[in-house]
Amino acid sequence: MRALHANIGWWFGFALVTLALLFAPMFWGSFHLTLLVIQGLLALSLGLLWGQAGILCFGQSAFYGLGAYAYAVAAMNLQGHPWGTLAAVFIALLVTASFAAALGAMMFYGRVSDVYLGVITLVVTLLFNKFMNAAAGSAYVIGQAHLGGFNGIPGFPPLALPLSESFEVTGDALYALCCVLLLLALAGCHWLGQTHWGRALAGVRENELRAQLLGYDPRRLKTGIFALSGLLAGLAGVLYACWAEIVTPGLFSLKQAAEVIIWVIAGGLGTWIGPVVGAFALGGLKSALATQTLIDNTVIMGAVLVAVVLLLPRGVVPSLQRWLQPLGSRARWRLRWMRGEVTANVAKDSHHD
Amino acid sequence: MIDTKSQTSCVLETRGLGVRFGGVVAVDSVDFSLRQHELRCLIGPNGAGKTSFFRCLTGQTTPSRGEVWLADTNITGWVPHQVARLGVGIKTQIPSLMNELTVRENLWLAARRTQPARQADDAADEMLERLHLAPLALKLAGQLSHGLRQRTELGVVLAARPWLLLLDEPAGGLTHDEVQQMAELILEIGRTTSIVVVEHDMAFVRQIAQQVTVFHQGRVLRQGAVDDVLSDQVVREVYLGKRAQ
Repeated sequence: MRALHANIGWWFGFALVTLALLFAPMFWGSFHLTLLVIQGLLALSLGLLWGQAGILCFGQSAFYGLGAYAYAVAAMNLQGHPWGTLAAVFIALLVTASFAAALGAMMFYGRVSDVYLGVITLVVTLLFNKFMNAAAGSAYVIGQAHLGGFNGIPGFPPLALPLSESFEVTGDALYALCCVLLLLALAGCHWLGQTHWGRALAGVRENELRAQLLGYDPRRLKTGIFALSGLLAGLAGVLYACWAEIVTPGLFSLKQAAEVIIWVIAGGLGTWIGPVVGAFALGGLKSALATQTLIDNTVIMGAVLVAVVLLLPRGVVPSLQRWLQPLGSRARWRLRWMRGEVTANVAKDSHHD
Repeated sequence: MIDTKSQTSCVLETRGLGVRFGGVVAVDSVDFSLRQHELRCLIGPNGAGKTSFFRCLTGQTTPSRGEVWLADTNITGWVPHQVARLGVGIKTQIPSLMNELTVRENLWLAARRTQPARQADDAADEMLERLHLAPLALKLAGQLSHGLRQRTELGVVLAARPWLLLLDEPAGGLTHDEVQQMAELILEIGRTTSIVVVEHDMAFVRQIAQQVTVFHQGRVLRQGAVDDVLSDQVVREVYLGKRAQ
């Protein structure tokens, strides 16, 4: 019954996100909204890793940037082919997931955990940043793609579908695609959390020794979720590349790495909707603040984070869930009382409990 | 899972097992064997090496020398999940549960590792009834009292349907009534399962054990029927102190 109630809450949140994505273009331009949806997907990738398996990773932006760069390089090399950009998407996802799996396996089979894991993933991100910044000149060319150093890679073809006439997925179409992918990712994460694999990961998060003593291999489970999370972040990177039509080393920056973590903390760790809400809210706030010059944006973002941590330590969505839960249970009892399943006194007493 | 009906009558055996932590010898050349469906208690004073020996059996500690055999399989140096996958149920000294999961989820996860989903559901429900945990099914394991955590952990271990149980202090911290219940439960399980119990509570040991092994300074001091061993003069001196004479 508890699981059923939890699912009702989940479907309610999922419906709200769907409605928000559906009606938001009436109020804001789809160009900026697309970026928020992409950031939501990136935040979800960390929410999956941190919330489900308890692994705090500072390297989510490394997978994000790698996905974007891999798409740009592959798309430039496959330019002219009708399936070129779709193939580039798959290549980018394959590269990101493989890299995440290799990095994860190295860490988890090497018994690296907790703070050391955070440090290693952060260092990997900064190494990418350093390398991409330095990769200027004719020596850094992959096929027809120049990595471009600080300037990044511009001018690669955007995602196109090989229909009767080539259909470029840009503007509203890209927004729709990003929304569909985000909703699919949310539903997929929710489903995954209820599978045997998802429950085993939760078990490892809660007590790794007990999970081991039951026969679960934490190293394999963690490597798997790390690769999956990297794949999601890579997908967000691909979508970002299609949206921005340029990729730069800024994708691997420390600022980008920290922002993802802030979105997840503010939105609410341990929920699927929370990281997405955090990315929407803080990403939206950042865009809104970009037009003012009175106070530095990072100061305001920092103040918001401090306020959330102090006032809503569990994050926005879990706090909302907590506040709405008594209303939900009151409504359920009223419904049962109206159906005659419980007497008024029993309903009152039970509600009191 | 390994074949326990093989030619060898020993389901668990150690040969010259030794554990050394720096200059400290915790376990010193221990030869130990357990027959099928035998219930053996490991006893000894604090620091005798029982827990270090137990941790070698479960894969939590890698022995410095010697071998551990599970039926016909040499499991020396294996990690805990590999040992558990052979059908070994392991209960730790301090009850080890997944605190933010419910009691039923803990049991289900244990059962699901060895059984299909529907059977795992049934096994979890059966274990809730058997251990009188049904009213606590939806309670988080982290909210349980010590006694209930001990019982839940035993349920978690049993839900995976092991053929060999390794229990570290199952009666630790339990009330008198709970100790009685635990003893009855272990005796019932022992009819069909081989069990090794590490325990301090001598009354509990007398209740459940057929055979006991006494550890002292990392070595096996005595081994045999419970009454014979516990009345042995050297054991009484080492384990209970000279005043006990």
